[in-house]
Amino acid sequence: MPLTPGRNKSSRRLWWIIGIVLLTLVLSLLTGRYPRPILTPLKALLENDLARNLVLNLRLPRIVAAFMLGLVLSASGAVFQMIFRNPLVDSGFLGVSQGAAFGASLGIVFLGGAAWAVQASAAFFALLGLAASYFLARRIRLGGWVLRLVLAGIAVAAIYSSGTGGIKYLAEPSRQLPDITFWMLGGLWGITWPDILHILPVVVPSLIIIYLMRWRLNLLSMRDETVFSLGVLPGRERLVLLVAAVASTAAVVSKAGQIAWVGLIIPHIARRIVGSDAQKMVPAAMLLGSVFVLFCDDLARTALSGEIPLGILTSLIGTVLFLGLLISRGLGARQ
Amino acid sequence: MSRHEPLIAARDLTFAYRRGGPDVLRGISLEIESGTITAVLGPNGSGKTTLLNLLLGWLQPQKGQIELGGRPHHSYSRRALSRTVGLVPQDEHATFDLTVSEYVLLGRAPYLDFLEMPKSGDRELALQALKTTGLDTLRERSVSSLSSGERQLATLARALAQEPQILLLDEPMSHLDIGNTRRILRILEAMKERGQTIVFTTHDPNIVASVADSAILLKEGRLLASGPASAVLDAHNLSATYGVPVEVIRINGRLIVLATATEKGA
Repeated sequence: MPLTPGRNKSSRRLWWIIGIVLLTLVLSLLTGRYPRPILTPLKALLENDLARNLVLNLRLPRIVAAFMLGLVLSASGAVFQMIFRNPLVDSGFLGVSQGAAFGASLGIVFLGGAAWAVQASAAFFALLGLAASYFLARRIRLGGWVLRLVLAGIAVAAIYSSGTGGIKYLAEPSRQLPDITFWMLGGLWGITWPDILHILPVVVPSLIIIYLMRWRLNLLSMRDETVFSLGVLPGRERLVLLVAAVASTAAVVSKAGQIAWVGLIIPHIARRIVGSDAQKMVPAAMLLGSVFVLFCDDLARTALSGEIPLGILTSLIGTVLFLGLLISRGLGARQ
Repeated sequence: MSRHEPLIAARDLTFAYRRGGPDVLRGISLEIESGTITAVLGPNGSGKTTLLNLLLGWLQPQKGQIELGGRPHHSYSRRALSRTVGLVPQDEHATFDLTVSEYVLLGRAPYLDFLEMPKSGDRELALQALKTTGLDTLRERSVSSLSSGERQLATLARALAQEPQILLLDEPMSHLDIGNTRRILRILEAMKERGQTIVFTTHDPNIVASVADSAILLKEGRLLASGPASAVLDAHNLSATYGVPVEVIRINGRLIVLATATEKGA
C-alpha cells in the first residue's frame, strides 16, 4: 500500500504543469507584433529573414529571460516563505529588492547610467542587503533567529528606501529620474543573449541548490527545537538557501528591474495545486512562475503598440490572483 | 536503579536563559537508566521543559554537564545526536499545511544526507509509525485540520519514525482524552520493551504512578526528589512540590494520588 496516495496525483499535476510550460513557451515564441500583431505565422519564420532574425535575436532571448525570471522569483519566494515560516514574505524581505533599487538608482545617477553599471550596482547592493541583514540580525538581542532576521531586514530595507529617495531627489529630472522610474517598473525589453550569459553562472547553480535542498525546506519551516532535534544544522542550511535565493534574485532583478508579486503569489498557487510538501511545491512553483512571467511579458510586448512595463502587469494580475486565493480558500498556511 | 553506568547522567546543571538572569535550573544532578520510563513532575515554571531541552542538547547549561552513553553532547555530530535523542514538543505545528504522512516522514531526516530525499524504506517506516499511533486512516489529512489530541499523536508518530534511543516528551498527554492517553502510554511501554528510554514531563502524578519506573520532582528549578517512582511519589514529596495537601493511597498495589481540599484534620 503506498504511504501517500496523493503523491501520484501531485506527480500527475506536475506533468500537466510541465505541459503548460512547453505550450506557453511555443505560444510566446509565436506571439509578437512583427510581421503582424499577435500571432506570427510559421510561414513568415521560414520565408522572412527579418522575422526570423527578430524571433531568434530579440524575441527568443526575451522569452528565455522571462522563463528564468519566473523560475528564480518563485523559487526564491518559496524559500523565503518557508525559511521565515511566513506565507506573506518574498525577496522584499532582507532588503534584497530595496538594495537592488538603491543600486540601480545609484548606477543611473552617479555611475554614468551604462546598462552594465546599473546592473552590477543593483546586484551588488542587493547582496549587500542580505549581508547587512544577516550581520545585523546576529547583533539584535530580541527573539529567535527568524524574528531577528526579519527585523534586521526591515531596518536595512528602510535605510535603502531612504537612500533611493535621496538619489531620486538629486537625479536630473528630465533624463535620470525617468530612467530610475522606468527601471523600478521593471521590464525585459532590452534583454540580449549576452545579458542571459552574464547571469547564467549565478542563476543555474542557485536554482540547482534550491531544487536539491527542497525537501529540507519542510524541516526548516518547523520551529527551532524541532529542527535541532531532527538533526538539521538550521543556521548553515538556511544560510545556503538564502544565499542561493538572494544571489539568483539579484542577478535577474539587475537585468529586469523590479518585478513584484511573482515570489509572493506563485508559491501559494503551487500549494493549491500540488500541496504544501516542498518536494513537489518548489518545482511546481518554479514552473508556474515561468508560465506567469511569460504570459505577462507576452502581454507587455503585444497588447499595445508600445511596451507596457512588466512590473505593472505582474503586480496587477498578481494582486487579482492573490485576492482570489484569499477569498476562495485562504493561503494553505496557519493564520 | 541498578549500579551500572546510566544512559543519561547530568551533573550539577545550572541554567539561566540570559546571562545574569535568574537561574531556571540550579544544581540538578540525575541519572537515567537505559530502557526505562522516567517522569519529570513539577508545578508550572519549575523548569521541566528547560530540563528536557538541556537533555536534548538544544540548550547548553551554564554550569555542569550532561553525558549520553558516557559521552558529552558536543562529542556527537548533529545527525548522530538526533538519532540518539528525539523530542515530542508541546503544541507542535507546521506553518504550512503538510499532510499527516508528509509530517511524519520528517522524522526520517536524521538518516538522510544534506541533499537526499526520503526513499521507500523511509516511507515504510513512517507508515508503520502511523499505524502504531492509529493515524494511518488520517494520513492524507492536513496536520492543521487535526484535533489537538490527534496532532499530538502525529508528533509522536514523527518521533517513532525517527527511531531515537532516547525519546523526550514534553507534556505528551496534556491535550488528550482518556482513550488517547492510554494509547500513548501503551506506545511508550512498547518502546521501553524494545529497549528505548523515555523521559516525559507531566502534571499528573497518577500517570507517573501507572507507567513510570522513575520520577524526578522539580520545584523552582531545584531537584526535590528523584528515584524509583513508587518511592518518590509519597504524600510528603508531592505536598512539598505542589504546595497543597496530597494524599497517596494504594489500591490493589497501585498508587493513587489525590489532592485534598484541606489539610488532614483541619
